Amino acid sequence: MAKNKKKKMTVSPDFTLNDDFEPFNESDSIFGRIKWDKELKSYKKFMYDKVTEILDEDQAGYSQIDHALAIASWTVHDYFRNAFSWDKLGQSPANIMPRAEPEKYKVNEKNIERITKTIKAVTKSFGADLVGIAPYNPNWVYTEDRMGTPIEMTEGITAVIAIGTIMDIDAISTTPSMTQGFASGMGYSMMAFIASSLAEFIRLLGYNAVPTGNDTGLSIPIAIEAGLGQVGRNGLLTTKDHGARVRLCKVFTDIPLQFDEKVDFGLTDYCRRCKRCAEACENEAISFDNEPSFKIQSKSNTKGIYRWAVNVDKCYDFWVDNGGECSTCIAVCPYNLRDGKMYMDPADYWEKRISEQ
Amino acid sequence: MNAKNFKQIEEELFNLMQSEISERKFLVDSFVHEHPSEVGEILFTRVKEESFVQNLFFFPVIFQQVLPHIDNEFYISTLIEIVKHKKIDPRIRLQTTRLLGWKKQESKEAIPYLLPFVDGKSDLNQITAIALAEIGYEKFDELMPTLLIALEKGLTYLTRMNAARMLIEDKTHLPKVLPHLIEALEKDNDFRFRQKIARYFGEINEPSTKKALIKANKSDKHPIVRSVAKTSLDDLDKL
Repeated sequence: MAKNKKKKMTVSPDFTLNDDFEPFNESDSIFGRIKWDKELKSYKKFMYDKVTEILDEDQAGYSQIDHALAIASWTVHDYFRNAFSWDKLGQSPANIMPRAEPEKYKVNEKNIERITKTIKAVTKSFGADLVGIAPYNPNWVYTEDRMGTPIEMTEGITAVIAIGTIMDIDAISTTPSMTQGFASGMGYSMMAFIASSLAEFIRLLGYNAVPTGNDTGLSIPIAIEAGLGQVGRNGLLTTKDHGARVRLCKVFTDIPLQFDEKVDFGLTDYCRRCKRCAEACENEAISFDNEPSFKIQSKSNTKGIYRWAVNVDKCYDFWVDNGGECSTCIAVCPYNLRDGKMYMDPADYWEKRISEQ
Repeated sequence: MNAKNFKQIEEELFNLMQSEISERKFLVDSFVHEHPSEVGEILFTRVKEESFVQNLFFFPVIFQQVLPHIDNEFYISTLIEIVKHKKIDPRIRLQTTRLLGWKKQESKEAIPYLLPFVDGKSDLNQITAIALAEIGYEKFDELMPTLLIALEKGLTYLTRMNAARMLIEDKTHLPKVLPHLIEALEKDNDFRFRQKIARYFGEINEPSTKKALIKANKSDKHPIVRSVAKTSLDDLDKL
């Protein structure tokens, strides 16, 4: 981790931090601040407040069907609360048969490569598209959660398994419609499914595992240190093959694993020369600056990190007016367009899906 | 670097670009990323040739995978060499102009080569006016007529949004620009552009926009425009 100002400043995969840097407090995230920050324009304004006035059966992408799809896609994430349990899940109320309690699985120099590959294979078997492993770095763990409760990581954690799921190409390209919200919600539900299943797998080998979604720590720097990609002008993890059309979760663990190399495919220079996301952003929340800097645009930006900080407040303002999330900066990124689409009319999305039945 | 290596790199680059055109594998950018200085020098030299810039074959790959990764030393100078040519395909000129605009003041040296393409109604004229405004061309009034055409008739909603962004950047232009923005809020066919204008109206605090916002809130055909117009009206009321 670079903390020396004389060194060449880099955005990613190596981060440049200055003296202002301190680990992020999740209550400063936009979803924390809407509850306490009276200076925030969207204070006490929630994403679905305006939905009933927005819904319009004559407007593709904003019908009751679209909204229902978007909300329903979150179900596993929102209602399977044990998904992000820090403790072993134990006996299921749905299964009366007691589990076996084998001894701790032995990992040593001879089998560490094999167990690392096994963990990755298992993660993908549970539905992940991308998996990387980074050494545990306390810089990226929140000091407090959204409710203001201090976070103390389980003792002995040595590694973080960063997991990416690729979001639905067609749905993302209907951005900013409510139809697009399905891609995000589905990504979140997949996070809950994969992280919880993987954590339980690791626990059944006798090790600690802390499955997390957006909670507990910053997913993007962790994913970068695990070799999944770099951070772009739009502030998102960007992969070489799918751009930022990726949802992230992570599992902190103490099982011995081999770490992945970070990747640098030249994204920072690309973003220096490309402003498509800034131009297309529905609320000009993305910086037009040529160069990255330590400037922050919002209280919800982590201080002291060299990058293009996104004005999260403006981003969220649009979500409120839109009745749901937006993926415009994801859709227009040239790295997304390598296998994705710039824009699809929500009406065409439904025609395609229905005609497949 | 010796001459042989330089030649090898050039050969490999063009072979890769050739195969990328027949099958997209995204291998060119990795190669350029490994040799940013050498490839920068090669491209800077080649784009001076009239025949090279007339050849549309390689340019999609050059724009997508080569230019973004060459050494900084060669980037703007290469773009300028491209726009120096008087006869190039408008698509190449348009994309190069856009890239120069994105670099803002750093592209100042390109101004003399862009100015001849401002006047007119074509897509290229509009993109050129937007780029010159981004770069900070000091005689903004010369750009205004083409920017207003771009605002009304830009081929894509992004062109129209960029024109609007440039036109409202300097608030002293607002008296001249606002009637055009109000018209765009009423008539433009893209809801993303209309919602953005509605948002601007909430930020620029001009009473003359209120009537247009009330109308948009009441009768725009897209729910997002109605929703944003409502927010902007609330913002205006708070001021």
